[in-house]
Amino acid sequence: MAPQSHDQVAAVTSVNSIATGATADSMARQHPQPKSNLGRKRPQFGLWSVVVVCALYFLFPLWAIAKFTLDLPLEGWTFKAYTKAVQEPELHTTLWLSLRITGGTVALSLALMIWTVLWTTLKVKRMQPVVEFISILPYMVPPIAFVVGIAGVFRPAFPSFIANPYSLIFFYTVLAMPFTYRSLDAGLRAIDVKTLTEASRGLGAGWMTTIMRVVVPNLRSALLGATFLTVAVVLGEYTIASLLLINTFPIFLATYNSKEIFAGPALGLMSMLAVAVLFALLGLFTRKRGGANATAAIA
Amino acid sequence: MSALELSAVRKTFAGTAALEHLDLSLGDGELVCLLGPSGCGKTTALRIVAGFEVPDTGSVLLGGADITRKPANKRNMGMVFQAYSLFPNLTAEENVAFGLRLRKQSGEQRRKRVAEMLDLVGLSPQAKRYAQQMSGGQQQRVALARALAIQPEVLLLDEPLSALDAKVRVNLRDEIRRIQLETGTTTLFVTHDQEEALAVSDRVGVMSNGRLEQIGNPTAVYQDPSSSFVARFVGTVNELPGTVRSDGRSVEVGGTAIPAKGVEHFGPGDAVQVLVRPEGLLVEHGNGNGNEGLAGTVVTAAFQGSTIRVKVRLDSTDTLVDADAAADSIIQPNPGDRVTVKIVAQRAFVESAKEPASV
Repeated sequence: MAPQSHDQVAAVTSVNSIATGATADSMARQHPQPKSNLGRKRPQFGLWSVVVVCALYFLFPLWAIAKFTLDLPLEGWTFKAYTKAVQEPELHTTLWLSLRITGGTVALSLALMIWTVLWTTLKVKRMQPVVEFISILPYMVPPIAFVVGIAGVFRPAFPSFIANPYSLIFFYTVLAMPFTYRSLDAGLRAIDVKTLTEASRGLGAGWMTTIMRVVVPNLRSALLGATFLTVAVVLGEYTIASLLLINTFPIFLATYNSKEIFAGPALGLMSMLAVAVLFALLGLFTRKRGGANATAAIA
Repeated sequence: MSALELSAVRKTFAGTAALEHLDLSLGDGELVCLLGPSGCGKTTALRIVAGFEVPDTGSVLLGGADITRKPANKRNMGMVFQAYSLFPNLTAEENVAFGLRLRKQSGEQRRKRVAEMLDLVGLSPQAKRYAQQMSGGQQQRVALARALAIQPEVLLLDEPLSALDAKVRVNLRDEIRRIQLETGTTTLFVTHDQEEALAVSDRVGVMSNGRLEQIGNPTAVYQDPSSSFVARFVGTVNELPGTVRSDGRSVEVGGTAIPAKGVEHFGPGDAVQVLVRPEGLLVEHGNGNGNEGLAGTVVTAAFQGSTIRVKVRLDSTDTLVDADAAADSIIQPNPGDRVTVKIVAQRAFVESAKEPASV
């Protein structure tokens, strides 16, 4: 296969870095971009075909929703459906609740996982396969089984806990575990964390200082990746919240969608675009860092 | 009182001993190299001193105080690692300032010390650069500046040159020694490179299988090894089979009497190995007199700058020996030449002959 062009390589690197959380600069070091070759710059037909088909597959439904919600019968092109949706009072309360739950989930996930991944990488390497297995359990257990288990255990024992919307933080932390673990693990593998932590401790830093000043700054991309994936999980989770009777944003979205023929899909499209913008920002951020480092390395 | 002292230190990993009863002391301002092959325990010893490992038994004393179980971050030791260890998110000057910041030095003091340290390693112009903008040699220089900035009680160098190319390695090696002498920092240097160890150390400790085989100044270790392991590991050594003569003072090798150190520990007729370094052999053209040297044929002659390393197959023992001939001598040895190899008096030493391999 002919080598990919610079843009293609950059795009692939960017997508991979979101998925794995590996830092763009470390990836740039490991996979230096091929030198420019005018003869090889022609786009490959096969590759572009896949890109076009995928783009159509994903973008056509979005275009259809946009057309459906913007081009209203008898009224023509208008933003009425969107303005109606954003003025809905319940949207604000549910969205605010979901954002608080999201913040809590991100904080708890990262706080737990940074220590866990660091500890398994540095101190108890033999536990890595075990933790890795545990981290993928939420993939394997269907959310419906998960919530039935939760309700069965917590409702009789701690009824006030399960009725509290913030109990979702703990359950969503479990759901987000596959993403946070993998992202942080990939980020830690991309740096020589053992040497860096030892260097830091040798200079007089305690564990907390080492993590805050050395580990976290060098895991910025991985942390961002983990954060955005957690946000996407929480803002899209329906089953658990629904069965625990907690009115979060996804629950409101589903209900609103069933009763508002135009404003419902409009709100759905807006929330989808908001998540897409988050990912695009992450992509831009990681690519910018990689580019800056590559330029610096040349200088 | 020693600046640093390891006493009867033992360390095992999963039942395998990495260190066995290690005793080592470093004087104030001294640079001691621990030299040995991979897995000999030298890095474990260094990591125990740094506080990254805790010994099973034994103690580590720093200025007379027991620090065996003191955490690494409370020991005030500077360390330069084999792998590049600069914090990638910080510039060179921020890396050097890292330890000073932890010691709550004022901004002015910090800036002054960072400038001093970067100047010491010759990297002031690179102060604003990140690790990925510097070469490997520059990164290790900054790591050295960072380690020295905190005015450590002991500087620990864990094979800091092994990832560098040959020329940079030699330059940085000399620079480390210059800086160490300038700052007077007590230093423990771990390496597997004998040339590096001999070049920079006040004393060299040769390690094998978790034990310190010999420790002494570089000349003594090279010229008067205490064991065949040390002789073989430090420098090149030729091994010739021989028998202790009836006079008890020399060894007979291929019909030639050779005076050798250590022969007094053996009795007449004992089978021994004669160990002699290439510079302890003289190569002369021609077959010579059988009593004065060992006749042989030149197999290869490799030019090495000031000397020519000549490989000779000896007729009497059918062994290959390496000898150094001056590169500027009038007659140059060539493959196929008949030569006589003579052993310089007191440059050979003996050990007991190896047990024959079981069949």
